[in-house]
Amino acid sequence: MIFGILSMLSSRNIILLTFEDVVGIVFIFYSIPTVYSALNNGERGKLTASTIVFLVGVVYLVKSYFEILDTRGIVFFSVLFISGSVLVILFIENIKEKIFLFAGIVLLVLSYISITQFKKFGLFSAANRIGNLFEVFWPVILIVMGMIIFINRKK
Amino acid sequence: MDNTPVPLSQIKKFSRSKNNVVLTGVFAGIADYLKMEPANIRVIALLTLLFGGWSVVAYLITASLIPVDKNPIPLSQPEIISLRKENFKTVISGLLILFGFYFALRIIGITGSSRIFILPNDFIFPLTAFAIGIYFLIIKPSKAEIILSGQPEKLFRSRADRKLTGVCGGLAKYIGIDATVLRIIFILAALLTLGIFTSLYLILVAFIPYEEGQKFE
Repeated sequence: MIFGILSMLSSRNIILLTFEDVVGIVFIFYSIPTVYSALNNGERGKLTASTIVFLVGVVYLVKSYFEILDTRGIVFFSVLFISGSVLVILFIENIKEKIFLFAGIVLLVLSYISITQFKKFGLFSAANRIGNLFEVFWPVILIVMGMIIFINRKK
Repeated sequence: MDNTPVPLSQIKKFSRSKNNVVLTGVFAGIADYLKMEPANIRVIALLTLLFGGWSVVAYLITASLIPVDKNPIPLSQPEIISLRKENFKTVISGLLILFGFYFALRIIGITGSSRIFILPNDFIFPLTAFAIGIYFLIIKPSKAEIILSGQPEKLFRSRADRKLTGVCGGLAKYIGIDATVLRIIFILAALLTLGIFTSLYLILVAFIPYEEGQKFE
């Protein structure tokens, strides 16, 4: 709903927001209450999805407001940071599963190292080459995922 | 050959379904009439949006003309919940396939019209997003449904749903998502991070035990 309202207002130039701003704002506004309700109800699927959505929203806003030259480098860092955060939030949901905390911290440390150290080893340029492939083939991934969910819908 | 005419009361009438509803029950009614799976009809209907939005007009006209089924088969509460879940998955998968094809065609260079009916796309898309938002507000699941969905208390590696070590199967069951989708996410994340993400997989393999009493498939 918020996405609809904001994109309609921005397309009519009533508010000055880019598409990335709109996506970022919508993702953040959607995910904060969803995380809260999912934590209360113990809905782990929703909790995981809304944590990812929140952090993707943050990435969009950061990308929109700050001049980041190497945008592909963000993907490398974001994948590790978002996965780590998801594991930490799963630990908060069920503190008996300490493995989530341990694995989450490992991924968060790796994400920090990736942004500070890995550039030296040329890993980002290799990631960029893979990113170029994804730029072309990502609709295929959407189709395959859709098919899988469709086939397994009765499970 | 038996040429006895079928009584009018026994002729199957085309009606909107009252049990199997996503928006108005038209597609479940069509599927029931044609003896097909409603999910197939729904996904095909979503894919017709690739050819412009005129199918929406046809859908709205059909929904307004066809009456609702007057004698639906009564369903139990668990059946209703499982049907809703299946319909939700159908819609999500249909949307993924639709957007996948839409963007694939755009990458190839085949782009659709900048207008749907007489209205520009940048008006129709926000309006659609707004309508979807309202729809999800209306069909928000009740607390009873959430409790009935039940998730395991402890994380185990799955013996029944495994490809390598059962980590994805067990984690998917714990979180409550599809194991194959989780496997694809793991593979994509591993590719995007040049294999660093596999460290997570190895940690999980090392520390998560197999579920006791569960048999290998």
